[in-house]
Amino acid sequence: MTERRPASKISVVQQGVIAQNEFAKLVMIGSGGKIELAAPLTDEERRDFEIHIHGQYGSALAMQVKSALETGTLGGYAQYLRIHFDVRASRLVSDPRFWYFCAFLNPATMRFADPTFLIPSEEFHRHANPSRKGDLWHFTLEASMEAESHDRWTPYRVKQLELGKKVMGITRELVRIGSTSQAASELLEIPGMIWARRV
Amino acid sequence: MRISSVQQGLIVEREFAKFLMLGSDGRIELATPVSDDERRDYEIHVRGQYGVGVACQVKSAATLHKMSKNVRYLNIFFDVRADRLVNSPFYWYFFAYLDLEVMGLADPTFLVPSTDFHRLAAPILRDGVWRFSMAANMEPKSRDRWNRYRVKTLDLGRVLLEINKDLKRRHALPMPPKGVLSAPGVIFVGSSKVRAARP
Repeated sequence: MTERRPASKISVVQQGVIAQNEFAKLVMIGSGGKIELAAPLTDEERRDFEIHIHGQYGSALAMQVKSALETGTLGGYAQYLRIHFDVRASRLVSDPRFWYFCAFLNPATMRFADPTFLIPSEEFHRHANPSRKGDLWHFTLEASMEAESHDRWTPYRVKQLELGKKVMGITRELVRIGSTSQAASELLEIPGMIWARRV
Repeated sequence: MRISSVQQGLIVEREFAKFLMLGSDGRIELATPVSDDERRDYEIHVRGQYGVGVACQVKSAATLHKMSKNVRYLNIFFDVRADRLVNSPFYWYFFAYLDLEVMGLADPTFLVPSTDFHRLAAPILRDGVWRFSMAANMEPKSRDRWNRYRVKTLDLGRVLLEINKDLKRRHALPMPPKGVLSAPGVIFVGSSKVRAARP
């Protein structure tokens, strides 16, 4: 269980930088140095990191890092990670290669608390209480931090010391999917090819 | 496979920044010099206070050495060209052990003024290059020469604020007009508090 502690007085900008650096550290060490992270020069596509496995090009995982400095309850005793943000509708990206990392940055221990959450963008946008007002999408993640929870976000839990391995697995899967779909598209270019499927 | 030395350096610099920002409740600002000609990893100042800043060089190791059965040492060696050696009360070294098991800095870390470090770290000058080697005991009951420079990671922000405050006070000591000091028979007397506050 995550103990509730007073939030720090650091600025939102400092919090963002610390959370991103913490994520990068855990992924680098946890992958044994195999994962490379790059920060885009511009953040127009809401990516904090482009992630790829050292020496493997062509399929990068994009990651947006979100954090909170405190947890809260929803009326009961269970502690929840609550993260709220808005996205301009024209900038919303739902793609298998775009993921969210959400975590509680505990000011008392000065590192993330377990569990953290790695969530595919499509899943996040579908279930994080989406509501649209004008040109803005509003999202609110409310994920239980309790060990015995079985809420919607439980499948996306990752212990921080396992983040590197988890990101390696996701990146490898994306490379596999990418190479399969590319091979299929090459088949379509063969003259006279007929595409049939089982009914 | 382990992380590279470049990854290790980056991770430790960012860990240091995290502990300073969170440990000072966001009061400490860090800046990275555009060029590293003066061997500074960070310029550190307290938000809103200009004119006094601490420059810091970050050094780390990802392994500890056992000198005897239960005594672990942080060993750090590096060379500096003699013409680039900086001895200044505003220039400090930060030393830490990056524990790859817990993916973070281990306690204790060491904050050492440059003048003290250059004196205590077995300096050897050879062909215009200074070689320094530090072997600091990591055990809680140690009484070695580096003991007085120990800082717990969670205390780094507070300690840096104190260092900055002390430097600001010393830096701002009112000096008599130039002509007074050159007048015959004048004796300049300083306050003992200044000496007592030295690290």
